[in-house]
Amino acid sequence: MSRRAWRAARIVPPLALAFASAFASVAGAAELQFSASVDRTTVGLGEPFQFVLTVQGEDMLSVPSPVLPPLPDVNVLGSSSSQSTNISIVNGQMKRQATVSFIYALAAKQLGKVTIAPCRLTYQGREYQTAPVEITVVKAPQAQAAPQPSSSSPGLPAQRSQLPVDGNLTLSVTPSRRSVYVGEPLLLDVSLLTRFQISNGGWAEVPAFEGFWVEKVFDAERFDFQRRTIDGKSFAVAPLKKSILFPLSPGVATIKPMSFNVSVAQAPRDFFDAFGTSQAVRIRSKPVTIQVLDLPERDRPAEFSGGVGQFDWAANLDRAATANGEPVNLVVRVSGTGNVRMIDKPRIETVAGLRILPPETKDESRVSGDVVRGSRTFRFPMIPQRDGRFTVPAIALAYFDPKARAYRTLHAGPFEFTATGSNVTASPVAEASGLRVLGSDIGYIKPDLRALDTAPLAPPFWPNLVYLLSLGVLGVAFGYRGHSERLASDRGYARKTRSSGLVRRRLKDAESRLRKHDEQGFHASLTQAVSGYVGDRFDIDSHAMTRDRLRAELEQRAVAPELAAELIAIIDQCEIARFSPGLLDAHDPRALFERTRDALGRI
Amino acid sequence: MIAVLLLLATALRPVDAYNEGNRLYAAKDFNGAVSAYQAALRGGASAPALYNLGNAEFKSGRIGQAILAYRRARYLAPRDADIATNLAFARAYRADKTLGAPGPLALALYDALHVLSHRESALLAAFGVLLATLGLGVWIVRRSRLAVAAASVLAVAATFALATQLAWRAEIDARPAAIVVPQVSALSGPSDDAKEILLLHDGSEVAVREMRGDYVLAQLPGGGGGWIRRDAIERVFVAVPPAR
Repeated sequence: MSRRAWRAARIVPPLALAFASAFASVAGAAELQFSASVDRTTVGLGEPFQFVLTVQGEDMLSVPSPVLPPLPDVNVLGSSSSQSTNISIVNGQMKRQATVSFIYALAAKQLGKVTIAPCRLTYQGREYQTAPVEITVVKAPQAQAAPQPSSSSPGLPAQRSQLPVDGNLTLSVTPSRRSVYVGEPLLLDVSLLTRFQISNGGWAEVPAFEGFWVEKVFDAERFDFQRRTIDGKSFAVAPLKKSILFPLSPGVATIKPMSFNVSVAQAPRDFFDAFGTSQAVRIRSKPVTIQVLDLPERDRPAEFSGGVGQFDWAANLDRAATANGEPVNLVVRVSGTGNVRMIDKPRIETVAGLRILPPETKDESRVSGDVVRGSRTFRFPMIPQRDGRFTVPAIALAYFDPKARAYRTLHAGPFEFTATGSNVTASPVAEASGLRVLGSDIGYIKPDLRALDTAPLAPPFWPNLVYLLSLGVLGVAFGYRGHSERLASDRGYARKTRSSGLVRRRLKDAESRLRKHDEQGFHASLTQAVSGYVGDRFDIDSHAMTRDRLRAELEQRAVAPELAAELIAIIDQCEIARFSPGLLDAHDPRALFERTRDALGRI
Repeated sequence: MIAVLLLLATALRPVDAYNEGNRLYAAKDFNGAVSAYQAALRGGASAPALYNLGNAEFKSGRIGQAILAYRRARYLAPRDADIATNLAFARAYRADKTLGAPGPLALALYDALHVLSHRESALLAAFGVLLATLGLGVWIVRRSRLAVAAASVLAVAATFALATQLAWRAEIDARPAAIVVPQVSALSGPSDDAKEILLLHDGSEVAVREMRGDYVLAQLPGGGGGWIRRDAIERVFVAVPPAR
């Protein structure tokens, strides 16, 4: 509470008493109850607390102020009073029950047990006395006095700005401790302390907390003010940020100043400024230094993995037997208070025939006060590469206990399990021959090459054309089969099919005879070629036909009349040459041969 | 070292890059060997180079990449026992075991239909059909019993080759792929804020069912699956195209 408030409070008791005395004219003397109490029995050194003297009585007249005893162990920061009256009518008679409270703000000056001696009150010649009150004074601040119901921004408490900003509007950065070991967590509490009415605000600058690993605990999204008395002043306090800091290296680490912008409500300047205005103010925290102590080198175990705090662990296999190469998991769970998330995995010795994979890590942590509690679980999948019984050697993990200032080592194991039906096993030959299998590995690389045969991954397209060729072959086979069968069954088709070959042979024979000057033979072959071809071609018996009949047959088969006449003329000429050579005047066998070949080609 | 390998990759013939990879592998420079084998493969697919690449990937701790290389090598040379052995070995090293593994009958059928490579089966099927058709043609023309017997045998061989070809085609069409990152979460949808439903590890073999944006829908052999980041997965036969 401010000095002004306390000055105002000092005039309250007389008013209250005057109010109480108003009943005195209608009431006579009555018995009083006089008692003393404190708002809490354990307080921090220098921390304000309330000491209340209560006077209660029926039809009470004016009550003088009580007399405080000497208070060598506490400071009196201020006082106030309040009174209440309860009027009731019983059986037509009015009764007034009045209560007057004298409230003192005190602060302890020394640690330990502090006793407030009995207080005295004299009323209507009679002296009343309270019982002594004992409080315990401790070093750390305790719960703050009389927190008010929280309120969100804007506008809680205090008053409109008529006060200087310094000392009345502060950005408080408070570490839970000033000296820690490397890796030992500390809680950083950032709060807004104000005696003004704040409408809104926001961060202007937040440092990166260099030299620390930071875990966020709380970031305010709105003001949540609570009343707190600090150095005799009443402040509205809103937490803005809470973080857990883990120092990373020894030395003096500094948390740089932070800046926060707020809008402070201003008092109305005149009648027209009924609602007042606001003023933007940037407040800046003071730098905070933390002494970071290095972890002792002496007696540091080889198994130390970075943990600082108090930890315990549990390590076990998730199964005692496995089959078909299924992995067995070694689950190691480290739990406790401290930098649990900075603990590295424990080292596991290699085991022949067992593949140990890097672990999956799962973290759980929560903040309780300024203590980080949590667990870190490592899950090591272990895959057997052969059948048999496996023993994973014992594992150990060391951490530093800052309270004891010493290293502690946790032990677990060894762990055993049996594997059957693993995919990669000793060859049957090795097992049958009794050879001892020491391990397994992939087959070695292929040797050097003189030429590297390469091929595209996709198969070639051209084999698809072979399928078309196959269809063609099948078509030819069926065609040939049909041709053969027709040759056997269809005489005309057979004669026609064979006619070309026969005429070629006969013409060749005729030409041969012509070269040998065998004119009889030549003309006979030529006659046979023409008659045979015409007969085969049109499936007629041309040898037995008269010229007229042959001409009619040829014309019936759409042979041109000129060509039919030519063929008949050739036959006639051949027969004259054979049987009446004297009738021919200028006979040229070569010309006749050419005429014949030409005529046959035109059929 | 990388610069030297890049230089080698551009300057050496494929066979020289392959032999250089063997030298680096023997010197236990497995990452260097990977680069050399990849350079050798720029000239085309080669079963020995893919096999050795798989070995180098495996020794470098990349199980998924090793499985991809072995599967590609097996596609080219399915009767190579070394490839089959190392593929099985790499699969045994995976953190995730295959769900819904096929039974012995299905495995025997799979093996039988993968005796021939895709290329071999395509060629055998084509020429088998052609020769069988010729035999059939001879029988049609001549009614020769010998011809029909030969055509029957050839038809059986061609049918087997066709079945093998179809089996390979089905395997390619299934779009098989492998996880190539240490671990990745399979999500319920193709977005970052989708729920995590599975945790898959390096080497897990899946089938790519669908692609959307930066995600692919991966299905496990047992039927489960989820949406996985594109950069966490690589297809066996066709590389998953990078995200646009």
